[in-house]
Amino acid sequence: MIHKSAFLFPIFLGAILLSVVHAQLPKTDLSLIKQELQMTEYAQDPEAGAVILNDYGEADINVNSNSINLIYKRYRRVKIFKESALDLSEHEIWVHSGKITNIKGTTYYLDGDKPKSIKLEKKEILTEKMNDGYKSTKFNLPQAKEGSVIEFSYTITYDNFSHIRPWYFQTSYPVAHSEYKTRIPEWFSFVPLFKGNLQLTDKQNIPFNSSVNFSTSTRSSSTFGGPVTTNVRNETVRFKGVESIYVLDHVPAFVEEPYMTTIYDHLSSIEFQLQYVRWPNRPVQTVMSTWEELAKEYMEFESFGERIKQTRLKKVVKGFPLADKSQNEKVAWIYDFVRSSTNWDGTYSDLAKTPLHTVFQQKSGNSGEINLLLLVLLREAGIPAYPVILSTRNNGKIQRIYPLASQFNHVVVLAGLSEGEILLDAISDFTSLGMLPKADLNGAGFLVDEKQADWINIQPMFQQDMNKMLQLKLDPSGTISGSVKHICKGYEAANARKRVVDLEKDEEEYVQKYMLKGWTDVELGETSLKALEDRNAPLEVNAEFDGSDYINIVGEFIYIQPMLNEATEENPFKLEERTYPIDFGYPLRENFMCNLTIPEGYTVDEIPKATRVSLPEGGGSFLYQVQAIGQIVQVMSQISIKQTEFQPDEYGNVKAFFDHIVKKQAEQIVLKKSE
Amino acid sequence: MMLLGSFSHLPAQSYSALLISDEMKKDAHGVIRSYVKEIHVKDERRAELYEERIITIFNQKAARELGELVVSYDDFDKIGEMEAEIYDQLGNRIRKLKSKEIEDMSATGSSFATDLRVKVATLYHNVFPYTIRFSYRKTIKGLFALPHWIPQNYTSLSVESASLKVVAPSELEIRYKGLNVGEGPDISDKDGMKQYEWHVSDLTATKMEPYGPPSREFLPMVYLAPGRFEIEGYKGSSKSWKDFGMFYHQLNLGRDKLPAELASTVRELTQDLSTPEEKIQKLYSYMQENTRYVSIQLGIGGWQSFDANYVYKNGYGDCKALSNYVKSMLAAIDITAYPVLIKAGDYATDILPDFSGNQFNHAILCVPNEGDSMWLECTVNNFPAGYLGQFTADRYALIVTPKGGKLVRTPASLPETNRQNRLAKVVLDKSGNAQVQVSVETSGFQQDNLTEFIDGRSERERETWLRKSIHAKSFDITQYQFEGTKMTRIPTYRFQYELDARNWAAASGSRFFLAPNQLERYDQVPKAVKDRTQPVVTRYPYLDTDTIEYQLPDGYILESMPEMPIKLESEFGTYIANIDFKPEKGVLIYTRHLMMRKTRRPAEEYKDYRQFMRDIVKADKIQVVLSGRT
Repeated sequence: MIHKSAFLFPIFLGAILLSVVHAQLPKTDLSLIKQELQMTEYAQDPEAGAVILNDYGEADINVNSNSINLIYKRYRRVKIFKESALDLSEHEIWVHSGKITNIKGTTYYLDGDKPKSIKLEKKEILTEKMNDGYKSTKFNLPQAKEGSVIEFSYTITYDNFSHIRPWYFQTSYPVAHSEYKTRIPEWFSFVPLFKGNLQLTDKQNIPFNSSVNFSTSTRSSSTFGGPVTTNVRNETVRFKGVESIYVLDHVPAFVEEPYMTTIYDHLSSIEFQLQYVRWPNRPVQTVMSTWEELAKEYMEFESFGERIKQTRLKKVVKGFPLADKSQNEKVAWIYDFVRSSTNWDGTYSDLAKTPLHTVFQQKSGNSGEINLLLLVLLREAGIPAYPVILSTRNNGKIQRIYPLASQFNHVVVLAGLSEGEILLDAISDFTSLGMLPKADLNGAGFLVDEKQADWINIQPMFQQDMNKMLQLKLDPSGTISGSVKHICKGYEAANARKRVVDLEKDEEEYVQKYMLKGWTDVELGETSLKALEDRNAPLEVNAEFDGSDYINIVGEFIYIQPMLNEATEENPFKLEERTYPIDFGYPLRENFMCNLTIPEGYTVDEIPKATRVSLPEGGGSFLYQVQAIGQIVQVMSQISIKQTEFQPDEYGNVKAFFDHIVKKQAEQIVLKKSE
Repeated sequence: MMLLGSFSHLPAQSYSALLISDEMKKDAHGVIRSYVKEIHVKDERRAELYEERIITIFNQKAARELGELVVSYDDFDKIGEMEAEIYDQLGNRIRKLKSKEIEDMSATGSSFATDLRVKVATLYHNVFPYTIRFSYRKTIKGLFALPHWIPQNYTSLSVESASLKVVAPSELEIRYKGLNVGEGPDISDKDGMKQYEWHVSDLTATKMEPYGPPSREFLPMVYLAPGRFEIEGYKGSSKSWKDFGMFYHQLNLGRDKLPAELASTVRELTQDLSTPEEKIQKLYSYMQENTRYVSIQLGIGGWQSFDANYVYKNGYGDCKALSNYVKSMLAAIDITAYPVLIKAGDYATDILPDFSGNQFNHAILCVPNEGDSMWLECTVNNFPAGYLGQFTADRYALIVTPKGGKLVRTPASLPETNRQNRLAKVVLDKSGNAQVQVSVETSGFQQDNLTEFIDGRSERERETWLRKSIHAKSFDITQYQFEGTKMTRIPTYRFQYELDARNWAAASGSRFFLAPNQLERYDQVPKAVKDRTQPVVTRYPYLDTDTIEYQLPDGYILESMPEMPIKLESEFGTYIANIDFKPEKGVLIYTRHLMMRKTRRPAEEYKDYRQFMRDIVKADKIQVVLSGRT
């Protein structure tokens, strides 16, 4: 991503370094080692398999003899309690252009009650060439086992850098002391950004003064063609800077919970974004300016703006059968064309590495390539269309205080309709027109345009909506026969279409697997599937069947599970409490409706009582009702969750809500033979 | 001699999808139009390989599964030109992949370090059908093994024509075994070179049948091995298991010298022990306590183990190195142990015993003893000495002695070995909520699968696992305890937990519905298969027994209960469930016994297997109904 925020270095000719103050890595206090080796648990978190005793990093922008480089140093000391935490003794460093030096590793152990140590040997450090120019350097600390204290340190030097490595205070293990130090000369302005909900234990900014001695040589000639003289001028440049220290002590382990967006939205961390570079006597080079400026930059990127401008796709669009179509029909046709004629390679990008006519030819590309192709085809067909860059749920929420390209990983298209506009993402095979895949539902996107760049709210326009309808007849032997119908709308339709296609469109198998799941004694009759191909219509699946699984006949009684196999069997929320919010992404709705005709000669002895429970402030509701009308028993269950995000303090309500559903749906209908 | 590159490509018009017969299209997602593989063994050290596949793709699924050519290589191999082209349904070429579109990636996977890499070419088109053509050349240095040939390597794929040609100097005595390829190969001799050719054609698409045998029983394939070979100066032969074992033996000679410090530790640890078994146990657990498994496979290191000193110094090693380490310690006290090569995997297909050559992916150790050999799996830190888990038990393996290799079988496992016994007490209240106490004891494979999530894990990981493994409607864990493995020959593991559970039973109106089997339910019946052709293979022998004692709430009488006991018998296993109801005490005791065999039965018994499983699913769902005392 260097192209996005690279900046220029001035050229220092033969600069002689006057003073460089290198901070020292923490020294292992050998008097404490014994105590650490004897630890059997970390008092603040006895459940942890290890504790990171000291996690230390430092990023030093260092004024050097002929350049400026970034020196990154890392030190970590860990106490291992359990074998499963030995992953901490394997360390892997990925670098693209940096140089790794000075790797040191030590394992401490007790010999009797004497602390001893063993060092990592150089030849056990391996380097492997990875993809996309990355190199991975790995080592495994010797003799690491349960009870060990291990430590390692290393230095990475970057001659070219465009950002400072972020620092994660929080890891999946607890950290006793986490500290990050930056040393930045006044020529650079970085903005720090904190994430997560933990408060720093300590923060200090210590100004420093430094200077560097340049010897600049100029060659000049006093007369035309005359002798050349070389003037060497020594110049001392004094500069200021700030050393910043960020400390967090007793950082709790990060434990992932179900229904989260991405852990990176919650992990306590600090990032640094370069705002500007200002060399003495030179104009300011702005790296991070304003959102409007960023939009302009995007339009200048070769892999964005240039791709949109130079398309060579005019001819292609001329061949499209759009002549008699309205604007809305054109949008639908082109969207469907791109969606069905390209293969998404599974990677997200806000950029198109490959020219769009090549993408068109290859019929495959990353998300940026496919959606920018959609954009261009729409524009060629005369439809107003704009790119909207965004960050997917897995990539984390956008920080609006940082107008930076590096936050984005995806682009979708805003297209104009005859009235209003619509957001389109063509990488998904199964979503309908205007339905963004769940990954895109991350709050907002940024419309990129030279003139009207702006934020676009991205809210789910559809819900996951499942409707199950059954018409059944029970005979006295306990066999149920009848029909089941599923009408899947919104996200449910997209999910169901994917399931059908994954089963090679085998209707019967789909019915068995997803509609009559759990039935063991079932005879399948006619099945039918409606609107599999038309993504914009609800998907409807019908099946006729006979079965007896959910009926128990004992003596004069017949017991029926009212929801048959559709009851919610387990509460999906098993944790006692949560630290992070639940995020469903979109609203959920599930309706179940069954009309069951009971056999002659039986009467209803008992049916579950109707109930209605709601989540506070209209967040969701559950309606359940069983009623007997003559020989027909009607069962209705409606679950609706409108609120898509629940805070940890609302967790108890959500859990209790599902408990209630599980309990209610387990109640049974009892029929009794009439006397 | 120009043998490579001299094959005839199909003429362009036959790329057309219109020429495919209906028979080839039946049940097929794609058709291999032509698959040519040619291996030219130059000498003991080197071979050249050429492969070309022309495949017509009918749908999206095949596009994803077959539209990618993945060629693996390591430090011994070199990939030559790789080509990928795409043709429309009429056979017109649409485009050819540019070399920069071919990705080169590390394939280290779960290993800490390997030199394995892959080159990947991907082709897509969206107008079906279309045809793709892939080809590549590869030079293999160090001919330890030759690639096998499996033309129909994807179900729902038919094959119009496929051929394998192997050319090698006669004196190298190439070894081969063809499966489901008819008679063959055609062999010809010329100028001291031997040429072997296999050809298959018009293979219809197959459907995978659930619980079927390994695919080599019905799909065509050819196993190949060099008769003689040389790798990094080590000469070897795979003419017999004896020879092949000898190669491994020699490759690993002299790697067992113990550092003096370790030698004295070994003596100290064992000097007061009397039997060899005790000594083996002692040193095996010393290894377990002081080392961990780290996979490093670089170059010849894929087959030559790091020496004992390396493991001692670093405290880690891969399967070969750790086995060699224990072997070396045992040697220091005059106990002979041999490395054993094996094909590991919980459900791995056994090797072909009558085809000597590399079919292995793992190494263990064996201390031979007439009838009671000690098997040592050195990559697991919680097995007792002499126990092999599901990963390596009950299969062929090659024991490597100084006299060469010998094929043996590792110990078989019976259902009774792999037990899970559970005892539970459930006190129910009127609303159906319950106080639940469960104690569990597992042994054999069942304990391997369990302790993987418990031994050496942090309390947080254990609790997370426990929470996930309990399938009650809604619950809080109020107490739990893991007791640790008992290191008997067959290990056992015990743990217990208590729950505050909601909705264990359903109380509605005047009734109380209790499904007594709530600890574990079978709910999947194997899929129906029309016209089953393959035998039925079940692979995991085990025995589960549950006893759940219910204390029922006061004020209810029994309204109904299914007829008990339920007894199910089949060739695949036995199931017995029973209820013992003691109304005077308000106690109901539910018992369940399920034994499943590792077995292989003829195809026509698949319906019996389904019936058996279906009956279990039903029996697992039984319910008892209580009603308010009137």
